[in-house]
Amino acid sequence: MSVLRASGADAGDFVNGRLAWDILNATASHNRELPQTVDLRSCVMLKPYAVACLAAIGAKQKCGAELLLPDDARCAEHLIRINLPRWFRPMVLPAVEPRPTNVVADQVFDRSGDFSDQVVRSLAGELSLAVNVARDLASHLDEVVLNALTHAESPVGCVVVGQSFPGLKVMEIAILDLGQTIRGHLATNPQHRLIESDEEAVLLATTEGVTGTVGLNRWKEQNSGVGLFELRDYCERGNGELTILSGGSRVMFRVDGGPKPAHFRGRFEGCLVNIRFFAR
Amino acid sequence: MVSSVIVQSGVLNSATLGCELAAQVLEQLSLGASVHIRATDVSRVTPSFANAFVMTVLERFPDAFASHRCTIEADAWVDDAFVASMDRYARGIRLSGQRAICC
Repeated sequence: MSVLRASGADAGDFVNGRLAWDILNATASHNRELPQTVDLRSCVMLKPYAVACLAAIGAKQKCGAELLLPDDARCAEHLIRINLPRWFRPMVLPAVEPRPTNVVADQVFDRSGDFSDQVVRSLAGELSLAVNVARDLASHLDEVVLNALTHAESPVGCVVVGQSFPGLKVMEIAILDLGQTIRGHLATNPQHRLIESDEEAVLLATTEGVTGTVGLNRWKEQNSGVGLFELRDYCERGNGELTILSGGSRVMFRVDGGPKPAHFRGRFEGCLVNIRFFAR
Repeated sequence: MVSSVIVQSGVLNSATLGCELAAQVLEQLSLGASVHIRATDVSRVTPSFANAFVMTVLERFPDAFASHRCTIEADAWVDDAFVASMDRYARGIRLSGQRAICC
């Protein structure tokens, strides 16, 4: 694929299913081919998960791909504001300051430090989050970034993007790696070598106490396998919606009716964790 | 022996930090001392930190917390994180370095 043309209609989220399929599919196949040009001219809106995917596509090509910004001025300005062009061939752009509702796209390689607190601080004011909710969000974010950095073996580290939607009282955060998938990681542990599907791997990885790490992870730390479980539990108690896309499966966790697995046509070479936190 | 006090503050969000704290506690417990952790200035604790600390200590001294040889002074939400880790340990969850590998 030399050109990725993102459709203007693909602005949806994981709940309504009107996803940015062109972008997801291009990201999914990053090990086989990468677009030399990303054409967003017909886009009018991109959610954090789509921005994370585009940033990762650009990062993997070491900023060598061309980015064509949306014709829609507001959407183009939004993408400049959250720094997407940083991962593409340099171009002359107007300076646009981030808004308090934005978590500017970032590529994380090492310990997140107080990254999660910065993210939540920058967004919490917009959503009038209670202190305990903000603290929970920061801890969950820490754990997911940690997973991506220590388990995934991703060539681009992990990409984090966020956006709050004050009108909806929702904060949406995407954490993406282009690594070995959850199944790939779990299968490195002899205890889990018989996993038969990506869906089974996602469900197992969100079970308390399950980790693929044997002994120490790449940071020479021990794992206990509770990070994704805690996040899933938090969302299933009605505080958010968690979607994990990895390999051939995407699974959503929310308050009603247990995990909702869906097949991802093709294979997503990496792991996308998309979280919609509700501010109550 | 006289209790020693270890002070923690800020954000405790990595297993490495948890293991470092556990090492300090284990050193004191091994000497027969009791340890008091003052974590009143800790703003939050992640499960990774809490598990690494609590499970490392319990692996060597299973009654360290129950016997109050190691006590933690913290705000409720920080204390909750440590209690959750103790509960996980009681239910059989272990750090990856403590698990038996079943082949």
